[in-house]
Amino acid sequence: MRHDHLLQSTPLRIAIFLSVVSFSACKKEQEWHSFHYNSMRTSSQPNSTALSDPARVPSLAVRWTWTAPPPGPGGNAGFRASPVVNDNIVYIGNGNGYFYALNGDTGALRWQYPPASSPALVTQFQCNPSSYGIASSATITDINGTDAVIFAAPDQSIGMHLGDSRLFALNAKTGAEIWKSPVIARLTGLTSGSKTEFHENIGYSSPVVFNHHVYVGIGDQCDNPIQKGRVVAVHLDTGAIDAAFSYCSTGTCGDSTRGGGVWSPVSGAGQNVYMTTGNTKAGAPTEPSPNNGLSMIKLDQNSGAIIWKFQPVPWVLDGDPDWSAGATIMSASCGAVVISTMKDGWTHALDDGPTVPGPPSRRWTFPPATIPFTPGDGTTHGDTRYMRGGASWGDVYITMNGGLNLTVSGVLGGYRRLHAFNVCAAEADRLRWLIDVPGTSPPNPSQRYYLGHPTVTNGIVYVGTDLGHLVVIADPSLVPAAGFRCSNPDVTNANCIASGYKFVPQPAVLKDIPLSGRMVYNEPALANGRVYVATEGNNVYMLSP
Amino acid sequence: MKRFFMIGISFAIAETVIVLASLGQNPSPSPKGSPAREGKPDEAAKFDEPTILKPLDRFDGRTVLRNARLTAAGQGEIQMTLRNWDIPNRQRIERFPELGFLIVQVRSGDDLVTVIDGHRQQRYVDEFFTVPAGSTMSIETGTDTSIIQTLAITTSRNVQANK
Repeated sequence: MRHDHLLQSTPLRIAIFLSVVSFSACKKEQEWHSFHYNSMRTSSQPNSTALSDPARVPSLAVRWTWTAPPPGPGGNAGFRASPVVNDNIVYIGNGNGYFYALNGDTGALRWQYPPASSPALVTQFQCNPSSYGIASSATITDINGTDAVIFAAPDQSIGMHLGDSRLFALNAKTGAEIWKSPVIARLTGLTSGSKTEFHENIGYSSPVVFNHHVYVGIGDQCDNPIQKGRVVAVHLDTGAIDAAFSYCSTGTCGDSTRGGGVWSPVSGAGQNVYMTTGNTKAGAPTEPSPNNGLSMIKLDQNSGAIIWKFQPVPWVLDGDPDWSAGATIMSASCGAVVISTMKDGWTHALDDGPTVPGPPSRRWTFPPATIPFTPGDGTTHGDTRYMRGGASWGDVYITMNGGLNLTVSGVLGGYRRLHAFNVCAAEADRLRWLIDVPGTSPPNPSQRYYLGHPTVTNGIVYVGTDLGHLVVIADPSLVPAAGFRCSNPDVTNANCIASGYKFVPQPAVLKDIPLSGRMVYNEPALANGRVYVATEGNNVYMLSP
Repeated sequence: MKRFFMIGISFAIAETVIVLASLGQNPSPSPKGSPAREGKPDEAAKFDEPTILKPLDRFDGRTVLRNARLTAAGQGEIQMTLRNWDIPNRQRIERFPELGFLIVQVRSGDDLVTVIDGHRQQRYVDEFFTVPAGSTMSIETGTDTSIIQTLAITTSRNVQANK
């Protein structure tokens, strides 16, 4: 009776309501709703959990494993997409062309889309893993009060029936369709090198929900041949394409110029969307105009008009350093910073700047360089493999990077290495730490990929490797460094200072867990004190301390 | 400074290599290369229409080698040309156009095959290899665009050898 009486108290009702709301909000925040965590693509779980406790991480262990069914016709085994998590349900697409929802506690399959009896979501144009089934990671949102999961995939039921790509919005609880978009990426033929067919592909560009729209980037089918890069926006409620939004990387959207594929996940913050773009040269005799390839770009969220474009590699030096990592928008102590590492190994940090059109303001580049690069500066910018997104934590940005020896020693050494940068610091203090990640293959000239996308929670970094290891690294502010090394990886400690470099910490490795299958396309999702990670070995794992 | 250091190193390498080159001109095997990949050169769909290669000139100059044997042979003065070549994906270059003795470094692109005087070999990023003067080098690229950097060393003799 007393309890009933208490519940009739309006102030208490309000207090309970607020508690429930705040608990729900808190719980939601601890989940992992998008590729790279959020629309700003920070790859950072800000809430403290066991995963951010250095004392508890060493007890991290696999709690369940789920293996996807083998592929049928047109499918390929393995996960290249990464998991997202909502309400303790894990969502992920597989190379076999099916999208799965798993119980976060047990790994039990809750539902799949489409049903096993229906044709898989695969394309007939397959040339590399970006076109294997569902390579794009999903995103969680709310559509008219219903929790929804949105992902991109090829679909042979539309267009020319070859595997044009579209967006799917499903009820997150049941897997029922809410909407399917029209064709987003066109596939109108299968002729190698054809300049008359469209060979567009959504690939790894994960959709982002922002401004009550879903934005996604369009690239191509392994440059065979390169296509005109685009960003498409659809209405969140219906999946219909918003014709008022238009972005194309070269020339006009209707002309025959090519290039500037948007391979990266589109980001959203403030009133703008951001993305990075691929090459435009590819043997073309003349530069397209305008040429928005090889750029980090800020667009108006409603029109797609360019607010600013940062193009460090001019057309004359375009040896295909597609910008594959997306833009991370950091709320740093020195202001909003837009940051990304280009495929050639240089990391660029820009001030976000105003929302009116104008040139961007570059804060720094690492390794330091005069931008734009010039033919006489001795640098080369080719089809190398600094392709993974970075993770931000406060003023710290953790990323693959070519390192201070990039122009002298070539690109291979940096493929196994993570750099952490102090984004707001003076140049002398830019490099915070660096580490050759364990659990990777030894340097090998025939090896292309060593690391997946790093993620971070309060200074504890999680990253997958080519040997299928999940490696956990602690920022030296949390756990004493394992040692110190020269900021130039080529220089021995004995010669470091005399050579004009400085010592930087080599952070401690808290855990190195061997799993099965490469994790070079995937990111560990850090949700509710658990790590969810998928591999090319066709497995999804849940690990917790 | 790094640029001049690299050019200096290149000269030092060149002086060593040209002596070796004048003694016997066999393609150097890649120390880390794998056996030649089985290709299907008659597979038309594998390659696009050939593009015209336009190199980016990085350095071009002459120098005199203080080597008695070469000087006596009238080869003491050499021309050194450093160039970058972007080779788009899905290309077959039947005859690579650079003349002279070549020191080549693959700067990017993981899908590159060379055929030097019939010897077919997969090449990898950062790898160095040489092409004797007078040899024919074909290049094939797969899904990746490649950048190679060539240091061409020419004397009056090996320029003629290429003609």
